[in-house]
Amino acid sequence: MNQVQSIFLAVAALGFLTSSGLYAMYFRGQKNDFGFWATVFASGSLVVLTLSLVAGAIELGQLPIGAVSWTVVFFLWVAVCVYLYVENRWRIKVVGSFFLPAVTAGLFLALWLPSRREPLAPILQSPWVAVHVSSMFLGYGTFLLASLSGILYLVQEKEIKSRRLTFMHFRLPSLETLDTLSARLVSWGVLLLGAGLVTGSIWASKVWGSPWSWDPKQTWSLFTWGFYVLFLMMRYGRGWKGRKSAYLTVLGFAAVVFNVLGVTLFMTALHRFS
Amino acid sequence: MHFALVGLNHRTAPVEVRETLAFGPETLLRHLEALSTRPLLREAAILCTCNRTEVYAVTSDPEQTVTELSLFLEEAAAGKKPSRRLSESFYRYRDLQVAQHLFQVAAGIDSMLVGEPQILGQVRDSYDNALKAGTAGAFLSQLMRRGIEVGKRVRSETGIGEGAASISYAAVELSRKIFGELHGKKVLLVGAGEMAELAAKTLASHGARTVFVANRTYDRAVQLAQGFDGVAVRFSEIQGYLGRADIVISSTAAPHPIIDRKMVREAMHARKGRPLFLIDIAVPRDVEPAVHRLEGVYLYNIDDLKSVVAANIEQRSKELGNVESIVAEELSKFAAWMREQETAPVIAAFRRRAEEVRERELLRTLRRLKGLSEDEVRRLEAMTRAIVNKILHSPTAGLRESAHIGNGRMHLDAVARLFGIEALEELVPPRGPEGVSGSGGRPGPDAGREKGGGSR
Repeated sequence: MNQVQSIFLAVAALGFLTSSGLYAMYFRGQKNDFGFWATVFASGSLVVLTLSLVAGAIELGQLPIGAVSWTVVFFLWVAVCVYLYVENRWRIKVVGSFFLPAVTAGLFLALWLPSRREPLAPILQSPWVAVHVSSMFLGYGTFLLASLSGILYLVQEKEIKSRRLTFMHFRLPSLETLDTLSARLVSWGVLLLGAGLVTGSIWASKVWGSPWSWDPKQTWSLFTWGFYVLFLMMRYGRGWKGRKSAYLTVLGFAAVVFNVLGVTLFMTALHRFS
Repeated sequence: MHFALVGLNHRTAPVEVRETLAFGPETLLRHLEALSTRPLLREAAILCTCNRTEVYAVTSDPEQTVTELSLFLEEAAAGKKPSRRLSESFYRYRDLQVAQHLFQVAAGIDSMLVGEPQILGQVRDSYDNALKAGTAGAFLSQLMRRGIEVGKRVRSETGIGEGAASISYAAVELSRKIFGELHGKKVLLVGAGEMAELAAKTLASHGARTVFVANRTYDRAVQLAQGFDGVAVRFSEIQGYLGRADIVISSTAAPHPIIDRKMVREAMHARKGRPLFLIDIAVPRDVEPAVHRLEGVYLYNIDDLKSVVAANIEQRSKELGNVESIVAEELSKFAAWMREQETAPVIAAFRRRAEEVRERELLRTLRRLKGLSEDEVRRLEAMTRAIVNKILHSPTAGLRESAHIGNGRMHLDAVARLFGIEALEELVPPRGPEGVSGSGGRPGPDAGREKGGGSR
């Protein structure tokens, strides 16, 4: 990571921090001014983060996913894009009050993570990598938001069941909204992850000679995808809505996290990021 | 220029008195036109809701106007019922008191139900009506616009209007938090009761669609269903409708629960995960409490709803301090504006006087000095102007500043006397005695309020 990229990254991180503060104030008082500026800051910071990624991409000559920190930054970038789309489409800024602080924490973590650029393995130099990684990350980003929506559903559900309504009840969206949102996001995530798996296989068949080699990473990704497909079948086929559905989105994202971190860290796999 | 207000509200007058002054839209416009013909009144507006009738006026003599407005209101009610109690119900305000009152009204803290949302729209309507009748000028417009602004600020910056303050609204808000939009949601009404019907009507007015009505006696169900534009349901068919309705309001006189856990569990099976909201307003209860433990089922009985409402009202009252401080802030801005309006005519008068002297003296001098070139005349003219402006600069600034301090009136008097402006009383009539008169006036905040433009 050179100096220009680090500066962009630091500016973006500070911008997201400000945005998080504004989202928090919006959550507290539900004032539209705060909400407006929160989104403005988040969008502005996203632009700066994009510049940082572009600078990285120019230096590497391809998607900047060589080092761990860059991988995290790229994932956060994708996740913020997904979030801002969802916010604009669903008009629910409240989710941002939880999402943006998480993104900010992630970015500061990325600043601190090792960013040493290792020489790119020749097999990573393919346009299929870019498509594969992008769609996988888009999928992960939607699953992250789906699980956040699921958690908020559980909080709201608990409020209504307890019959003692607090601040959270009034601020959070309705059960219906949160439930539908997380299911929609899972549907999108399944499509994106599916595209990621297919492009990954095409790439694998080129570099490894076979589209599928039961590598731990591949296996886990397929398992995660299968889990979400099953989730959608149960939901739309058998009416597994509400609490059950919310728990499953959280569980699903736990599988995603294990896939991204656990498999990479604990298992030896053909499929490595660097 | 002064403000005056005479009115009555739910605190000063019972409904049988208030209704004599409840003007319809046409009557209201007619009254405004009648008010505009009175010589004392420059501008006027009438705020008329089911909880209050108030006449706002801009006048040069607030004392006289308050009396006149009281008489006007008594006359307006005269046709309906001669009532000695009417004038006893009036509160009468002058100048800043008027602004404070309007700000409190627009903020919703003078309402019967603190923080209710309608009043702001009603204030807006009363201003629109005054504009329509041509009785709103610059001063009234400033007052009304500031009032509407206070109402908006209070609603966006405080939680005064948050949380339902009645059982039926609490039911609507909870339904919204469960179902999101209520459009197309179906309501099942089991048994009849005033509160249950009100809740069902409120839900319907927020978009809930079909209303199924079940009753012990089918004829009564049919009769009720007509009132709701709904469908009558036999009592024995309730089980089936639990699967179709989303919100169930129950209020029968049955001694035992009529909706039990087994019924709801079976209904939930048919609902395929769609939630069910049960509102049990009956005592003894109609719905078995264990129902609440089923997944996706939310059961609220009368006490649960009451405690939700109580918590909301408590929450609202916690916001009162914030609302009061916004009102106070806006009031002090308005007071500064009013004082500026007072100094403006004096400043204009004494500048005019200086200008007259300058022109007269300049002419006299020019007549004596013959053979001056055009350029020299222009220079002389510029010099006299500069002298006058330089001398007047600091008294003008001082006067403008005095608008923002307490004893501004003293400064005005001093300037008037120093510059020989005799008609100050005409420019700025002295204020009437401040304070609330009339038996119906609100005690408390009025007593310790900031005085208007200064002391007499």
